[in-house]
Amino acid sequence: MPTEQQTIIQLSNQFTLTDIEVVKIFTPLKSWEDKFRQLMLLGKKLPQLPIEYQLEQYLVSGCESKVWLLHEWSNDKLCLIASSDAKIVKGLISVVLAAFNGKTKAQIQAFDLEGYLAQLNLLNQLSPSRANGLRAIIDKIYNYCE
Amino acid sequence: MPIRSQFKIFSDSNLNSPTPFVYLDSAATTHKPQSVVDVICEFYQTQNANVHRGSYTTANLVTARYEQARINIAGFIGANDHTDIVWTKGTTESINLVAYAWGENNLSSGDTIVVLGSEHHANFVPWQQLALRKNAHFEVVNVLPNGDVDLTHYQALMANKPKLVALQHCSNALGNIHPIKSLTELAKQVGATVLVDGAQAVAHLTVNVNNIGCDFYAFSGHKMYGPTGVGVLYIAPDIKSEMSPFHFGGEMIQNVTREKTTFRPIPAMLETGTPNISGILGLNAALEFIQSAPAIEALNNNAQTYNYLIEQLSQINNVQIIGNSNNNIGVASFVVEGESVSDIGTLLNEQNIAVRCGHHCAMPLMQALNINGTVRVSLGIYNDKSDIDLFISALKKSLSILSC
Repeated sequence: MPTEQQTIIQLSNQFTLTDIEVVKIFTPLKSWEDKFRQLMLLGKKLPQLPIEYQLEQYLVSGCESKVWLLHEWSNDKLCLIASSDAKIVKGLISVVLAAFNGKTKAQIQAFDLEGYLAQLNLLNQLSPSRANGLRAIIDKIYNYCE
Repeated sequence: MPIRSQFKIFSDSNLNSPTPFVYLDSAATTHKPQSVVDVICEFYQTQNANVHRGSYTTANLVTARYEQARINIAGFIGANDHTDIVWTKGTTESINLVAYAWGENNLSSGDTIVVLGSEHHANFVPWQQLALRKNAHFEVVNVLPNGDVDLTHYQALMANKPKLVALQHCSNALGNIHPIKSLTELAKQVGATVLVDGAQAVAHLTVNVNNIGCDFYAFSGHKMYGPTGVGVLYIAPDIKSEMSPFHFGGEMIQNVTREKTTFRPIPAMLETGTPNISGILGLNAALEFIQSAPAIEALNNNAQTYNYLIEQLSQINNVQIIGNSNNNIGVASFVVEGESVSDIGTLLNEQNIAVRCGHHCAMPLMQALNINGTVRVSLGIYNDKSDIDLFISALKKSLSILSC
């Protein structure tokens, strides 16, 4: 039976979406419908978080919906797995993980996240509480790197 | 003038493009007709003065209008006397006022407080906290699966002879209308003091506090087409002697010396400080609006709009309506199997549809019903069938995107 650490690393490795691919997907999209349809599809790319990991202790506080976020370091790379009970949030998690999953601390800190999110033009699509929730996830990942 | 055209928000060009703004969140707050907005502006532009203090004409005029509003509100809820009406900031303050100005001196260790399981937090937490301060028992009435009161349990709890029973007139989360008169009667029979939270009722039902027989009735201006920041607490004549001052300051006093202060009777005793004069005049204008013939007619039509909403909503796959839609103030609360309510709210917002998603400040109710929250559609006097059509088609579109 794999340890929790092994499970996180293994699941994290299954998520191979990159920020470049995300930008490529969203750039041509103009309508809100298409953006949300893509978010639905991106959400499905998240490896399924086993029910035994959907625990209170992994919840990100500050999110309107439930968001579970787990991490491990493997060979100096940050392995992330996350999920939510809301589909739009799962899509947004996928967008964030595409930028950070499997990256080194230095890579994460050097990444122009604001530029990336602005390019996707997604945040103005979100309610303030949703946008704050996304920030809470991002802040937590930055905390891992401190 | 048609009802809808009295609300400028529905013709605002920014808000209503590219698609019409569909407002289905009147249980959170209603919009304000132009007459209410005008009264508030005119007050500041041409009449601004403090009440009860001036020796000059405008102050006296404003005082007269301010006190007339009290008389009108008393009439609106069937109170016998205008001195039974205390101005507050809103329902929440009204209830907290009772929890302190009555609760602190009338509740003791071992006493029982009873509330419904479907209460808004504003009529739940103040009593729970009072019970904790006083080491009293805090009992919550069970909720039936449709959100109605479990009457058997209610009656069983009455056997504990509660000191206070706090009841919502209508559920804010589901819209259910509770049998407030019989619940109050049962509580009075065992000697309880009864407070009714009427926040959701006043815009939809004819309220008569004498007929209900309660000791306190609390409501807000902003849910009945009036401004925010103004509310009412009705205090029955018999219970007035049990009240103590809550906040201390000017206006409430009879005489002040270095050693002691004597207080004026209610309402002055509970209304220290400069009140929300413009808000109270605005509330009076809202009262005139709500009692006008076109408004009464529109309110009657709301019942048909509501039935249409329920009928349309029931036809959508996987939609489950929570609450009693046969006895309701015009709220449709629902969940959709497999979808989170916040996702639905986000996608409806994209289509310029305003609804409320979540626990609606009634977490104990959500726990009792074993749900995380609902999408709440709540009607106001300005809603019609076209709003429902736009909402239903937007909901279908949202669900189709979510099932991508």
